[in-house]
Amino acid sequence: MEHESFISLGVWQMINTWINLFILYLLVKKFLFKPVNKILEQRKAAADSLIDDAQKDRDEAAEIKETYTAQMRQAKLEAGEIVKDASQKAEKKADAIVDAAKKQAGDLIERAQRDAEREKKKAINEAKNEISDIALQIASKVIEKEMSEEDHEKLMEQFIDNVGDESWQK
Amino acid sequence: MEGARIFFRIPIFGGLPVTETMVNSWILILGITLLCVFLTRHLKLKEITKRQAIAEWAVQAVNDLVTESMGKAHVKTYAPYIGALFAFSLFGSLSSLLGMKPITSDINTTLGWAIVTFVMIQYSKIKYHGIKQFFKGFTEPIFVMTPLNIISEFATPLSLGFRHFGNIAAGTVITSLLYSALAYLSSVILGGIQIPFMQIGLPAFLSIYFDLFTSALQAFIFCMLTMAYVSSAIDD
Repeated sequence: MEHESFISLGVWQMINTWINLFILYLLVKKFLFKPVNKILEQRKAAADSLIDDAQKDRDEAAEIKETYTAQMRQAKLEAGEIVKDASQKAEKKADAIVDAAKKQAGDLIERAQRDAEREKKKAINEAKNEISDIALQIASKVIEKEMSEEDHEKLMEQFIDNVGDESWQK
Repeated sequence: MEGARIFFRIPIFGGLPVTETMVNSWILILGITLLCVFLTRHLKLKEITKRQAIAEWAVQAVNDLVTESMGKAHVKTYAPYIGALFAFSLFGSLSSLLGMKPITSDINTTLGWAIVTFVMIQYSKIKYHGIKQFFKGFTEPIFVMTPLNIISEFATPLSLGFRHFGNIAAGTVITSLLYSALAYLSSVILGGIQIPFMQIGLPAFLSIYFDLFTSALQAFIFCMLTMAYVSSAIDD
């Protein structure tokens, strides 16, 4: 078979080299670099968007936490106020109840005292009448005929007036 | 030592030869393309296959290399070219392992690639600095340097092309020299009987250097120098 010499330059051979290199360049570009670069870029984009999303989520979470904390603080404040209000109201109510009870008790005692007083007076009056009757009977028996009707009445009235006095009570 | 075989001649312009280098190049183009298609089948965003991992690693490696030496702005333009060049050069040299004649042991291949680099350098100079600056650049730093500048401009692709060719071709030459030396040694040991038993094993170690190491190194050097030259043409 025919051979070229070990070192032989030829325009035709070199043109072939260029065409071959150009064809391989196009093929490698189309079948290796384009698809792989595309997938690498897609993956990079996906990673970037993932990082962006994570950042967004974190910001959102921080915001939510802040509002939550603020709301909690507000709620605590309100709760404290409510409790304070309630305890104040309860105290007032308790005071009112105690006062009412005291007043009622006082009224009761007063009425009881008044009743007792009245009973006492009534009893004294009844006793006065009875005593005067008894005294009259005794006296009439003792001093029958020695006393005029006039003297008799006088003495009786004196006696009755004295009944219930301090001197009498002793 | 002979060059590429000529399979047949196309009967125009006084018989254009179809050489072994050309045929091997077409086989390599087919092989590399099939490899690319195989690696990039069913690309996914998640739970990637081993094939996809390899494809992504390769593309990323070339992208990083181009970014490193040329800057981010030129990755889109130059990465596929550098990738194609690297693959062509690497597999073109490694094809010797399959018993093919390496396409890079043909000066038409490596010098052709170097001329492409040369064109890229001149194109970048004109594109990024204007035609006036392009011609003015040859007279710098002083006017008398002009002939030297022109020579150095043409020396760039020549050294690039011959370095690659020389390394791979030398490997072929040395390997064949070694084979004949070992054949001779065998016949001496066996007293004239032509059984080249010494050829078993020993050339494999040499092959590790010439086929694997040199192939990878020269492909890498060629790509790195191309990027460095074009990058410096863009920058200054």
